[in-house]
Amino acid sequence: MILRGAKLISPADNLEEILDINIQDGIIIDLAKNIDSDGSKEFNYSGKTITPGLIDMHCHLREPGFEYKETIETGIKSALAGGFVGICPMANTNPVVDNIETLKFIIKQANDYIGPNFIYPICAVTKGLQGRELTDFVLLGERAFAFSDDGKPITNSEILKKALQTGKLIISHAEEETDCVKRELEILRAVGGRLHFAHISTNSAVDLIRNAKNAGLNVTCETAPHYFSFTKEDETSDGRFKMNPPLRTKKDLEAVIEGLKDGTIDCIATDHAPHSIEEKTKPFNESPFGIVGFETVLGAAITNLVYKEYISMHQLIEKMSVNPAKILNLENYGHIKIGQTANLTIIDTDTIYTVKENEFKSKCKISPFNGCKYKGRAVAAVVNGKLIETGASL
Amino acid sequence: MRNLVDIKRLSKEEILEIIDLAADFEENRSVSTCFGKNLALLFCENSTRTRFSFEIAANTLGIHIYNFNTETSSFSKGESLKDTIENLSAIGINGIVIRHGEEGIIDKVISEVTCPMAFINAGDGSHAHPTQALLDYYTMRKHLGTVEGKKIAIIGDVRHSRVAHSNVELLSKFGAKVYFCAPKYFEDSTSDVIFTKTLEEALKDADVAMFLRVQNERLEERFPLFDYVHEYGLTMKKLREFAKEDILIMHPGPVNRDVEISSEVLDSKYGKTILEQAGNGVFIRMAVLDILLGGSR
Repeated sequence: MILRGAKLISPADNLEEILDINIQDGIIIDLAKNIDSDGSKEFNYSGKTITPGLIDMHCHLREPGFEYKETIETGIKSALAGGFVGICPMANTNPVVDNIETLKFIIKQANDYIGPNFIYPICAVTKGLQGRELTDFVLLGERAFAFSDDGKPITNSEILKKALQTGKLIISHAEEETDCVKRELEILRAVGGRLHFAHISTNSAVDLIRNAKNAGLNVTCETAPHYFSFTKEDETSDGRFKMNPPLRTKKDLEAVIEGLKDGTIDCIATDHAPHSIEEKTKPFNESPFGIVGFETVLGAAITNLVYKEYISMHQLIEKMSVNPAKILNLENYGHIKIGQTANLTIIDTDTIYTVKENEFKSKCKISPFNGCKYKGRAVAAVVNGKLIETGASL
Repeated sequence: MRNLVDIKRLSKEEILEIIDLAADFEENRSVSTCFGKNLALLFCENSTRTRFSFEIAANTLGIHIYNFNTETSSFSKGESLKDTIENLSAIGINGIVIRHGEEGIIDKVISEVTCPMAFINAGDGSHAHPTQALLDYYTMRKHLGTVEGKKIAIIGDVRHSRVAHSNVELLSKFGAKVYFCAPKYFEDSTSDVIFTKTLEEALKDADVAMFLRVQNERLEERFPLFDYVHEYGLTMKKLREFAKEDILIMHPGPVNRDVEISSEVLDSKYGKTILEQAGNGVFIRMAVLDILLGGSR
């Protein structure tokens, strides 16, 4: 298949140019101007931008256990609509992903729908997310690219030490953000390992991580689109804007953007966390934490960060593709180059539209981004060499 | 996965799918999904265990096997590999296992043919031998649980060895620390694997020592066999002196007795893993054939 006429942007390959892409058997075999037709299918993407495939390193798909909120299939549909070609669901399902059977079940469910190499589940650090006993890092670690007790902080320092000492990537859900980040950075300093902080949202946490990076610690972090799009002033009386960590002040929002600009914040991840409409329309205090994010992140990021010139398109692609691939050690992502498996996102950066939650592919059709006027969205994705247009059924 | 050409193109997930299915076959937890399919074996270089292993794997799955005789087939009449394969496909062959001296030949053929055919590389020159690397990983995993962080020394003719190349690709994916140990004339400048000069360094703290066959057929000049055996040949004395008690000794076979490994070591408990490798090869090849030729599972 040949994709014609799009502007290719790939920061890791020093590439920003209008070139055709020839993909055969899932592999990029040519990048050039005006590639000769070879009888295979051709698609014209003039005026569009093609980037290395986006990866969401933090989401929740709810299956097994909470299929009324989202299933692996509806979650993947939603992710594809948002332009993602790789996603990392967290372990807080029922049963928890703390055992090989559940891990394999999730991979199989995803593979049956979309084929291999799309889903990269994150396994629990501790059994049952209870914070007491480490899971089998050897057995799970062969398949899992990271471990996390997301949803719960690891309060037991000894457990966190042991987990870091395995050398596996540990993703920390830092509850009470400042204190928790501070404490965990100290542990990282003492024992080494690889630590990544999920959903960083405060000024002080950004500062702590910036200083730790300057001091040479092996730490990375992500933020979520709502922390650079909204503040707590935006909250409503229901659960529409309720997530954990909660929305913060304007000062925090500015610090998050500053962290994205100067590289302190490595990634943007959605923390896509669907719930039923009944749950989210309850009064704020009774509604569960979590909002959906796959289908709105690109619009929010391009509009609120790139068009406002806080960061460049190159930086955005680094934070949504190159850096997650590096941090997770995922092969076949983060590049557009000959010989590479074709995992690409095709973006229309000029289209202007209003977010309509009732059109979401996700089961969860309520979102704080509803009604936002955004510029830029994904129109298609190439997943392991297969072109999937947004909205098309597989 | 439609073909198996090399390890580089497989993701960890695809590798583990093969490994898991091999374990299911070994423990009788899975049945064939490719009963009655037709498989051609084209071995343009010598092979005993790889060929038998594929044959037994195919037979066990209920696949019909058709062997080429490279001397009397149309091959010798000058028919190109592309034309041969397109004809085989027309006749009803579903897959072909190829061993060939030319590196990259399978990729070349795949890019030329338009017919449905599953290609399985059973060794192309010094390039790749993916089923060997898979069975080696399967064997190590049984003994070590994981290879992550484990020291794995590959000793011998790493330059000419497709086994070494495929193993490095696979083991690095799973986080093993791979070392090469070879005399100057076998060093491989194309690889970024760390070289150790002496066998002592290679064996020290190693979890696995994989010895490679001295491939006389690929060596260009006369080769100092006596010195090689003295410096790189494994003896019981060196094993006791330099290695951990529970080190795994592996070899893709066939072993040149008393060249790469002494008879004393081969006939001791340390020699058992090498036979185990050969046995595991059948389950790996069953898994590969079943995935490539079988229905959806």
